[in-house]
Amino acid sequence: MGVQLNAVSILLVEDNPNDVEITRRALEKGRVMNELIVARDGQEALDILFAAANGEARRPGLILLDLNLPKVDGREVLAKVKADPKLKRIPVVVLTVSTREEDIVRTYDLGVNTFISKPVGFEEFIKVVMTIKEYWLLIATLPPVE
Amino acid sequence: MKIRTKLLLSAATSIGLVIVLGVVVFFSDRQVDEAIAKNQTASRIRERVSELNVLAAEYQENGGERTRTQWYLVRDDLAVLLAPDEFASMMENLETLETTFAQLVASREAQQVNGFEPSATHTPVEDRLVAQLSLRSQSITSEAVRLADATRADIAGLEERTTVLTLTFVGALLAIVIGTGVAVSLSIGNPIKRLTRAAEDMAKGNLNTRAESIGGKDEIGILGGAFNLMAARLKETIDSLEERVAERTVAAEELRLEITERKQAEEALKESEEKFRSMAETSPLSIYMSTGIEQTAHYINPRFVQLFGYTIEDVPTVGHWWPRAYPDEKYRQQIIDEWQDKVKRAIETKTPIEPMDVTVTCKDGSTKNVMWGFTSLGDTNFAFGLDITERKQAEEALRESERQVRRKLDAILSPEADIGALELADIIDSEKIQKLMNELYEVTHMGIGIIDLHGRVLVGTGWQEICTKFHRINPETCRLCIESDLELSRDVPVGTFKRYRCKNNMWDIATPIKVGDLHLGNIFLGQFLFDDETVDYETFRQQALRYGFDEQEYIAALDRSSRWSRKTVDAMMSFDASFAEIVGNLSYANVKLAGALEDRKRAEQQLKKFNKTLEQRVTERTAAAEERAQELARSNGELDDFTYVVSHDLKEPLRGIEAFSTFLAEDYADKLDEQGHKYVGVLRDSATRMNALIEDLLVLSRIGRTREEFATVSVESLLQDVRCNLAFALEDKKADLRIQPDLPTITCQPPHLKQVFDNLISNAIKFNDKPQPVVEIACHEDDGTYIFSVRDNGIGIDERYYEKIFQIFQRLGRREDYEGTGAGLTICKKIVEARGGKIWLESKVGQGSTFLFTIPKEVPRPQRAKEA
Repeated sequence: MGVQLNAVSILLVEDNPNDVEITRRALEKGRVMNELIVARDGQEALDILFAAANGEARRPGLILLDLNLPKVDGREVLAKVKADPKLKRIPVVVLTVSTREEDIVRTYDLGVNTFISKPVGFEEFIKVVMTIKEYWLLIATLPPVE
Repeated sequence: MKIRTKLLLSAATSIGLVIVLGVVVFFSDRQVDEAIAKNQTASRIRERVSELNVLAAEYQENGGERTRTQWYLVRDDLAVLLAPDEFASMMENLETLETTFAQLVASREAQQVNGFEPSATHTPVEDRLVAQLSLRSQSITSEAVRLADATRADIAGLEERTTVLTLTFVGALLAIVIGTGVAVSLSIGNPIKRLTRAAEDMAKGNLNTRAESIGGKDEIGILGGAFNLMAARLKETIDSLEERVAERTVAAEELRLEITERKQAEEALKESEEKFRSMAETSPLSIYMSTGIEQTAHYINPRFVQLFGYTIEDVPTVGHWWPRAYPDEKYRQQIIDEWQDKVKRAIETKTPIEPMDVTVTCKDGSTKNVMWGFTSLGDTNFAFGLDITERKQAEEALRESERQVRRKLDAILSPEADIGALELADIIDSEKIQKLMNELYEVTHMGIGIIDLHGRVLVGTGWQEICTKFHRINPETCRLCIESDLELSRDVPVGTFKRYRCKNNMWDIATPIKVGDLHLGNIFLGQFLFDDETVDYETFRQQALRYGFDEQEYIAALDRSSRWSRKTVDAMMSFDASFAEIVGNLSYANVKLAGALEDRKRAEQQLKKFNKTLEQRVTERTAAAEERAQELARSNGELDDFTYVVSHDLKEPLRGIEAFSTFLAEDYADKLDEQGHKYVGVLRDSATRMNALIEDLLVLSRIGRTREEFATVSVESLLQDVRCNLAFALEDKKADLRIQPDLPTITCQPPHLKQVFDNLISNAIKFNDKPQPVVEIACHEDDGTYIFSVRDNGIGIDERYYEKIFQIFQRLGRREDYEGTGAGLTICKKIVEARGGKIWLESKVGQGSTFLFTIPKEVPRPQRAKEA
């Protein structure tokens, strides 16, 4: 692809290794070449993000967040990210199996940028990834990474 | 500090000072003595040294044993003087002197030994020795002179010091004497002066004076304190004395006032006693004034005597009163117990008793109902009796009348009650009948009586003198009258009459009054003689004799009594019998009517009660049903929740299967043979299908779970949306969707209703083998409900499957022929039923199907539409 992607890293917060694999592959298929950092639970995600906030690591440019996570729930991760002045500008895309209205409303209330239900079919998943890529990585001007 | 201590202390200080000074002077003196002795020693040393010099010169000149010996003697003397250590240097010089002298001696003796005559010639050696001797001597002398000088200076200094000390000593002595005097004067004299002034002041009468500034702790201080205390005490005593005098004055005044008041009170009492006496004399109350718990009388008022007949001599104490007033022993004991109990309390607490109603037997044997009150004032008890006999009788009469009315009322109003409890008096209107009969009597001069079975006369006219004055008066003849009445009243059929010659030999005729079947009384025509019979005067004379009647008067009364013809009597009795029958029937009808009315009233009440119970039961049932419905809804909700959660959980592994079978196909394409690829395809298809099933389950569960907002929408516009959604399928099948115009506007949850139409229309197109499928949508209204229909010209459904097709995942067609999960109709059914409607179908195989469903206009209660 000749289009210059925003050269940010993507933080994937996902506990299910299959889903990690599926997502990784979908990103590859969608030719999203950005660096992918994987956090396997909410706590790990927060550790990575706050290390970045303190300047100890590179700050991810996009967060793909599952809601149902061990240790620290995805909703809580979202709330903390959006409450932190250094992290709140990172776009968060919630990727979850949930289609519950409560979840959708609640996560938007918490300041999520996009809410996407994980489709069952892989082909559809690739389409979702393409949408994310087009919007968040090609179209949107992401806040500068310090 | 006490004065003695002060004096002792100052004396001790003075003595100590004198001793110290004395010691100092003493030691100064001793030093002077020592200095003088040393000075003398120095003089003696100088003398001896010069002696030694002289002797040594002589020895050199003359030699000689004696001079030598003398020299040594003087030397010894000098050695004694120089023995003390302080003269050590002079001692050394003396020793050198001795050695030198010894050398001189030796030189002298050597000359003698050599034969030389001691001559006056001096050898050089000897001259040197003598010079040395002289030198040493001078050195001792000069030292002695220095000593003497020093001691002399010492003496001068010491003497001066002694003089100063002595002067100091004398000065100090003088100072102590003067100081002590001044101190004593200050610490004793001044306070005493102040004390004296205070005492003088007090003597002048100033009791507030105090000895000021005597705060010391010595005797004077104590004396001052004591003086002040004494002064304070004195003041207190005088103050309290004055106060007491003032009090006494007040008390005396009060006493005077009290005496006056008491006098006034005594006068008032006398007056009040007189008033009381006059009041008691005329009081309508019976008054019994007494003393003590034994209630010894000292006054009984005239009313008491008048009412009971007892005088104060008859009842001097309450103990005399009781047996006379209450002769019945049991009753008396009961009264005494209650009375004494109340009286005791009244005397103790000085409060009146609760009045007591008793029946008193008077002196003449009659009885009176009396209400007794009692109160104790001072030492005097007052018992007041109020005669309530008449009131009691009136009350009793009233009660009796009330009982009658009640009985009558009860009898009439209780249909089950035995009519036998009725009295004739309760049923007939005696007053009206009396009036009627009086009028009859005016016309006919034939009197009648209505008498109940107890012999009570309820109505009576035209009484014969012989009855009222004789037969009914004498107890014996009266008994005979009643006997006749009873005899007459037996076994007479209604409407007939019976004639009877009474035991007083007069005629009585009676006819019964029956109410219902009950004989309650009779109508009498009595105490007359027929006009055709001869009066047997003899018999009557005997009767007069027997019963003690005045014969003349009795016979006269007999003559005045009625004499009627038999025909008249028959006619009268026929009339009376008919009258009695009518009265009886009317009364009975009245009673029955009253009973019937009461019955109806009761029935109405019963009905009301029953209705109420019914209503309550209906309410209860409704509540129970509602509760059950709610429970069902809850349980359905739980099931929906469960379905929802399970569906989501199922999706996750499903996604794995789908994705990884895709990866398998992609990554291992070259390693799989055709069969392998087919299997992977089946795997992916299955996953896709299962996903579809789960999606349907989710939709189904969401119907129960989510609260879609109610809204009022036009079904037409809603169907346009559906048409858009299905545009592709309609196009594909070349289907014709016909929508009836003028569809209503209804209140519903639009997404749900849309889903229903979507599913039904989809099915209509899907299960259709016609070249041009036609789907018609219509609606009509019936009794508050919209009935929608979706008609197609499709394959049709066998009646056997009418129920089955609404069950979830039930498919009639083969999967290869018709795609879909088989949840569509289940979803429709759930939505329609949740809205309070029904769904069903009419169809025949090969002739198309019509699906019908209802939507009530009324929104179901648990989820009423929000106001827009």
